[in-house]
Amino acid sequence: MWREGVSLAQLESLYRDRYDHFARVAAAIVGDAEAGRDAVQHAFATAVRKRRSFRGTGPLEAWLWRIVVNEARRLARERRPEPVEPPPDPAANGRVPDELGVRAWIASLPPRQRAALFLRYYADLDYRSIAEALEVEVGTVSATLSAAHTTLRKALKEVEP
Amino acid sequence: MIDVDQRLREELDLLAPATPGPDWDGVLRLAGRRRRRFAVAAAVVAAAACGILVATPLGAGIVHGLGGFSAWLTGQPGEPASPKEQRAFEQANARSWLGFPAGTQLRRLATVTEPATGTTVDLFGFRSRSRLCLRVGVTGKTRGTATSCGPLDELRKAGAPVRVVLVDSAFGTGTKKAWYGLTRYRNSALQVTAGIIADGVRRVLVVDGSGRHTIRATSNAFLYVASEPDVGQRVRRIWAETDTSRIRVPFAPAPFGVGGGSAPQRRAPAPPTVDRKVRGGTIGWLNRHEPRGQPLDVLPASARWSIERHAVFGRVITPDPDRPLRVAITLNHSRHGHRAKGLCMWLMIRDGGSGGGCAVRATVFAQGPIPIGQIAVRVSSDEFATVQGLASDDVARIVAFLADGQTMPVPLADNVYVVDIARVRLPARLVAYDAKHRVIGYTTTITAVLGGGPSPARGRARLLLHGVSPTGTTAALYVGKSTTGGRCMFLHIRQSKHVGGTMQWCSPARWRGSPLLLNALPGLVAGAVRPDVATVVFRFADGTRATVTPTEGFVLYVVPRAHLARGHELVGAVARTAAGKTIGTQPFARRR
Repeated sequence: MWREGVSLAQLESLYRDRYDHFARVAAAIVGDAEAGRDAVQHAFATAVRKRRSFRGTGPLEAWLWRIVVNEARRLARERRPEPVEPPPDPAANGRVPDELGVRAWIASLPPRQRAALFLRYYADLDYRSIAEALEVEVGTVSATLSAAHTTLRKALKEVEP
Repeated sequence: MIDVDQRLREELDLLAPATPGPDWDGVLRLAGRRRRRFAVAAAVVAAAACGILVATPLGAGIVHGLGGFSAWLTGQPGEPASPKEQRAFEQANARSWLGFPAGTQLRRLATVTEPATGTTVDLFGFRSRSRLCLRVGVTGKTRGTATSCGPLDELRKAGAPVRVVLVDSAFGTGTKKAWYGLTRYRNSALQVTAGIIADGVRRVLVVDGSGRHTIRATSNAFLYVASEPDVGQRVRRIWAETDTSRIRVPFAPAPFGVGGGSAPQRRAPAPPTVDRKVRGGTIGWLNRHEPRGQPLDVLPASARWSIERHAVFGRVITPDPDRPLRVAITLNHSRHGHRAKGLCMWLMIRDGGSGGGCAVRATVFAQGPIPIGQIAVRVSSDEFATVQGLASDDVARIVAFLADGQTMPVPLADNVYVVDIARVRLPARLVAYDAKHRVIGYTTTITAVLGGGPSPARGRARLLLHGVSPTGTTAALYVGKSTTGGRCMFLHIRQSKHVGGTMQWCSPARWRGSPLLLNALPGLVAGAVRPDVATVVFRFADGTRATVTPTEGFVLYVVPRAHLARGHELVGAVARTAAGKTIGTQPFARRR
């Protein structure tokens, strides 16, 4: 049976359980850790206020992701775009060079596609939940992720014969 | 095969910066709400979610003055199990190679049902000679059974009104997932904690990650079911409540992953003074091929092949007649034949499987009459650890000295001993006496296999450093939080498509040891440095040096190709503070 509304306890539980995922994905969308955190805080505040409007037709987490992603994208639009940089390259110490060009490719994606990648490979959401979170068709999610796979597979084949 | 998903995760990890921690109060403030006190409500909700329905009457509670566990000591807790339940138990018992004695009567103690999934958890109890056992049966959407027994002596000596027997025993697979370092765990559908309680206890309070839960005492037992628990959720504290007081119950938490599970660290019993030194003992009956115990033929077929394969002579011993456990001892020759130089011991388990090992016969008692027994925590949720081993002919009696200062006799028969020790009473030490009551030897300290030390905390490790050596070895250094407030390092190495692995190391909250903890790999050096290390200077055999600045306390240094050649290779590392002071060194083995 479908239920309507969600309790504060449920929201708090999901917030505490998945905070790190929400915050880091939001930070990746906005391009700044603090702004990502703000996005999550505001998103959950919105969820608290609108919790009675949750109709239960899909997973609660997907509903929350939609609010978080929308909030992050809203903040991203308000901010001057800043390039997302990998960790600084310390002298002589190991580093994580973007030898495959994957990060550059990810950075070049439109925000929605980038969010799809993060939701799949960082937050481990399934296609349906990603589609609900981004308010797109499942096919769009599938196509985006397929393109990511193809790009990375090509790059890996070049460096790992 | 290329793991595209994993590489995508690694790349995304780099693009998703770490953020400050959660702040639920901040969320509520933003939402225009004041924080409500959920503590009590959450406990009520959780208890309701578990659907605790006590379906059995209270036990007779006839006090016989035996430490308050009268119903258990008379073997009559709760009510008789139904004929169907008794029949199912007997059938399962008959299928087991190491069954409980025929005629063992099951007693029904408590039931918990979860209306949402229709899962029912039944708690049964029975007494099998000098052992008290709890059996949990789960039916419905999730199914399974678990049985755990403890020595009756525990009730008399433990000194607590509640004896926890099973803690967080897992059933089924749940829907939650969580990362701990580089490992992603799933939760179980149910986790069951159960124990035996004294007559005067009215309630048992259980505290776990989901809150505090009050369990009504019923039939001299308690049953707590955590339904769809969080990943890694563990019972942390238990209290017994009488009408007038609340008493903390000692128990050892169930382990999770590669850490936890140990009781609070206690001092091990001090080694006793040895009255008579004994070296080079033997097992006479084995050497003389005397038919003690039972022949190897009684072993189940599944275990016989591996045990009999190189055996010259062997017998099956029942060291404790009160428990269904047997030990096979064999004299073995090597696979090439020749004389029987090996002595093997195998502990047979209920499903017919076995675990054990072999040693050179002449060395078994070379250092003393009672070499250290093997400790085996049979299941993660079992509160008792089984310790078994061999004793030479010089040993007449063995006594276990426990961390709480008490002692317990260790059953010994035909030179084989076996004893169950509550994990909460570890570390322990076994002491051997001769026929004249003189101490002739003792084991090293027996501790739980799992537990202690820092381990990965919840949260996914992030990729910090990456390097490819001139020889093609790739290394990826991931960093995550540790359970003790420090950090965990995961060093993923790949030398070829088929050769690779992951090394894991977690630092304590305060790192006091050597400032360098570096691993020399083919063409790479990787590891952690103490927080006060500002630079690491690598020294080479030809006198040259390279200085590396650690990244967040970690180093992954790719050795230049020129320094892979003989005479130019890496010979050591020096740790320096920001002021340039040398605070430690680490040598590296040179190639021969």
